[in-house]
Amino acid sequence: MPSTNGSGRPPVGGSEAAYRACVHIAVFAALFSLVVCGLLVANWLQGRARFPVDPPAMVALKAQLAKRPADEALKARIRRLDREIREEYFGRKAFAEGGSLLLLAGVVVFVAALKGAKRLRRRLPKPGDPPEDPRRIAARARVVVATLGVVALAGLFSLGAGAGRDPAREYARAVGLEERAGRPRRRAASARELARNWPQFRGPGGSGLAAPSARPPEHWDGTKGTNIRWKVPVPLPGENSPVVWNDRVFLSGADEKQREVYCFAAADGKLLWRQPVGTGGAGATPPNVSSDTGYAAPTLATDGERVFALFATGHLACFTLDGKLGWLRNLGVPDNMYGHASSPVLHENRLIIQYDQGLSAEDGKSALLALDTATGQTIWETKRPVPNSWSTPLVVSSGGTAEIITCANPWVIAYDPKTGAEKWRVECLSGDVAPTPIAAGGLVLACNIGAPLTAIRPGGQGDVTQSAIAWSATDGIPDVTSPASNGELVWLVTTDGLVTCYDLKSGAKVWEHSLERMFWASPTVVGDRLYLLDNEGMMHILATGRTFRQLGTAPLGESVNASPAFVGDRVYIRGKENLYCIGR
Amino acid sequence: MRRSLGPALALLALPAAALGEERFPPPEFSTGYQMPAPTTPPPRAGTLAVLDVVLLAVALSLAAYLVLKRRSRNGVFALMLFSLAYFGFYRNGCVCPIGAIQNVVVAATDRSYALPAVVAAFFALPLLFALFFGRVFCAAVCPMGAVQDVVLARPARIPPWLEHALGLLPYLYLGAAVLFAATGSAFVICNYDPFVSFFRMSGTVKLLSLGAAFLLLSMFVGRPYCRFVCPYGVLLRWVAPWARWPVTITPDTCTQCRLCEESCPFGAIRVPTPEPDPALRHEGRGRLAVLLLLLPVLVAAGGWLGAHGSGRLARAHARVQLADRVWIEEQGKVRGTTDASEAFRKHGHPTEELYREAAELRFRFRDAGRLFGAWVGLVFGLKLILLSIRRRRDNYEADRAACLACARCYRSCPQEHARLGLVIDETEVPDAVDQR
Repeated sequence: MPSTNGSGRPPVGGSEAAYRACVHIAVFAALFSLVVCGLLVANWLQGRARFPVDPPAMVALKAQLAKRPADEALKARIRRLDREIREEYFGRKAFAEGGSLLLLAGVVVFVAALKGAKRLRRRLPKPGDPPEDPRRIAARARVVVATLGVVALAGLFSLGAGAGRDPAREYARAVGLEERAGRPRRRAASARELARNWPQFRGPGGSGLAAPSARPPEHWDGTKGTNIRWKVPVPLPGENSPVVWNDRVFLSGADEKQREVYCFAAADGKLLWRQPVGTGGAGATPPNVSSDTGYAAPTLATDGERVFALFATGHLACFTLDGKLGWLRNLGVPDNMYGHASSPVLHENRLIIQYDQGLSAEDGKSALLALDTATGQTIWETKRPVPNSWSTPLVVSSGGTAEIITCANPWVIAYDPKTGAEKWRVECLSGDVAPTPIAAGGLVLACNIGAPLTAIRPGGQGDVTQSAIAWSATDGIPDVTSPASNGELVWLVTTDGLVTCYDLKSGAKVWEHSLERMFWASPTVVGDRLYLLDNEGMMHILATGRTFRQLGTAPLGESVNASPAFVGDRVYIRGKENLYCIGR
Repeated sequence: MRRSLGPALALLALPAAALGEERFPPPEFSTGYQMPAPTTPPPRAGTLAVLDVVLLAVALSLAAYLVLKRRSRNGVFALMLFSLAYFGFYRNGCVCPIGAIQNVVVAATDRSYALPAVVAAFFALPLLFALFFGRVFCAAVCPMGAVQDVVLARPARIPPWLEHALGLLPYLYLGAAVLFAATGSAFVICNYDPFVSFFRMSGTVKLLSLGAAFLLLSMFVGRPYCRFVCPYGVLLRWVAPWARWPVTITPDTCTQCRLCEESCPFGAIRVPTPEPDPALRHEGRGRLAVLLLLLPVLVAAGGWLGAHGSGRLARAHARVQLADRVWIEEQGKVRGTTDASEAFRKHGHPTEELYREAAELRFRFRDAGRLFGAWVGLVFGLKLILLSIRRRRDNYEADRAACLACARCYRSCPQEHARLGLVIDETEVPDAVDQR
């Protein structure tokens, strides 16, 4: 055993007196700590018994006060009791805080004394039995580790027990998210497929231009059934326009209590399916909407695989063409003074939604959203510096890249569909903007009553108000309907029936003519004809020439607000009550 | 030992401090008195946060110096007390590298979250020091390690086979902490920090009880939290074996005197291995081959089970809990409302979005649960493999991964006594060897 040196270091074991002192201090500190601890526990238990939130005595006194509100004596008793309870609570709190410090001090002294005593009786190291063979240790450890592993995996398995009763499965089904796996991502519909159909508000390009293959009849009479292939009632009201994909026609309807999406057979008008939207709850609180707008103003959009429906309550539903719920969201009840009317549009695998809200841009509520059509997940959301609006966004191609054109007071703003980043903006609008912009002849045309019709060269950067405006015109500006163009001329129709024709290149007015009827449906160019549907259901067919020439009229026999859809040799019109298919 | 029970019981009763967490409602004035608007205390000054980082770096440097250069247990103990006082009681145990794991995970999985520089520094500095000096952070800088070390009275020896098994728990805890942080559910390391309630002199009854239980255990088991719970210890275990200047028990040549065998209260001293038995070599290789084949099976099974159980795990997320509750309320499967469901309805947020959010969260949990389960399978599979690999060791060595660099073993080495000049005649040292 090594001996100690002569440096004055105490021998291992230390002095007996110091050791005893340490032990005594440790014992005293332990007892002290125990007493403090006991007092703290007692204080805590008593405090729990007189929990200050709604003590029974106070509740009883308050109940009496409700019956005798003028009883001043009772009020004084309540105040007295309230004060007593507060004093007791804060007294106990101070006691607990002080006691905790004393307890900490006691424990510190105890540990210090214990360490001191241990140091004074330090034991010399002494080897024990020879160490166990590491191979035997490893063998035992393998058994224990394997057992623990089995227990851990069994624990994971037990976590999954009872998953069938999980409410999440039910509500996931209700919002169409029961199962994410196995959902194939379909390629976006080709331009040819889109042109063959009427997939969104104002047709394939969103500009009110029917495909060249469209050959609608020039005359029909809904009252006599002439050229009416079928007519079916639509269960719930709505101002949205029909969309068509191959053999199916889609509409939505809603009132303040319910929302539905409908699918009709294009061949005979048979209602193939109708699906409710929304599960009630907080999102079902109906907003205040005007009777002209209603709860189902936005027109549906379809990519040929799914159909998307947006309602004034903020409900946004995706169904397969067979009527199976794909997904359901609620974007939040929009703060819109007339009711939300902007329709969703599609770009590749993204659903674009212009969700403008609030009476002022400063409200900061407006946004443009791009959602994944397969899942409904938000891909991007961009805040917009505008108040509520009713215009539908338009996707245009500019210099080989796509841009989303939006209209709202006072800006026409273009966004990048990939990122949602703003590309350019032009200040040219005012008021409650409802008309949807169109693209024609390499220009974007936007208008709203109170502001001119403005032709904009797209593709700039930043605020291009000074540089991108090709021309503007001020006559015959609509407040509801959107423009239409054949690439050479532009037509506007106002609510009171004034039709104005402009030259697309120069912006010069070519002609104007009043039809003296009310119009809310937007005009559509079909070949060399312009179709204008008035609110009484009369279709006015004009020649798309440089002079006004009316080719004919066709009555529906039912009032109409929605815009018609032109597919092949048929026209689909939603009346106030019925859906019509017109064709020879 | 009986003397140790007093304060242990006292600590168990610390829940009395939990009284402080209760809130008192404001009085109901009928005199038109206007309640003052609540104010938010200003955030901690940035310079003080920098001071924390500087102090951490200084403490780590000092710990490395004391452990490796001075080989001073007293110095390590003094630094430990400082760390306990500053990082523990003064800074209330936050920021700490252990909890910072979760911030790092969130930063890696949520692009909208910016990792504060101070948190990043607290996470990285101890690992950086471990790469050079071993686990000097555990030695004297971690307040949680310090509070356990200070109360260690009579350490019991944990059987090595049990140490191997319990040593896997931190890996599971780390996996769970990453799972819940990555899914935005909870910072479980912070929520279940057993000692932070002491540092703050306030906390829930459950947490105070948990802390008291750990402290009680710490009197007889060396640093139980550090060895069998701490998820940051897992990261340090990965880094410390590569340390440039690791802890060595002896300052010179190991004479295999066996005097250090019992000196480590944390079971981190490894003994020399016996000569290999050629007869057992074939058996060992066969076992290793089976375990290597079993590893992917365990990982796959764990992954499947983790995904299978993810629904239950998802209920840890507040939004999922709320969606479950709102759904069963809407369906009339339960009467009444909870505070959360009532607040949700008053807010007017659409239920569809809540359900959708919860359903999406469950998808995330399914992916995360699969990874967590695979991690569990991997941990057990690798441990079984490592237990089947024989490593040759000729001397008594500190296990670089497990050694907490506490400097306790130094004084048991006769070579250390010689280095310090405590042995008068060095020729007496071999006597110690003869004691075998």
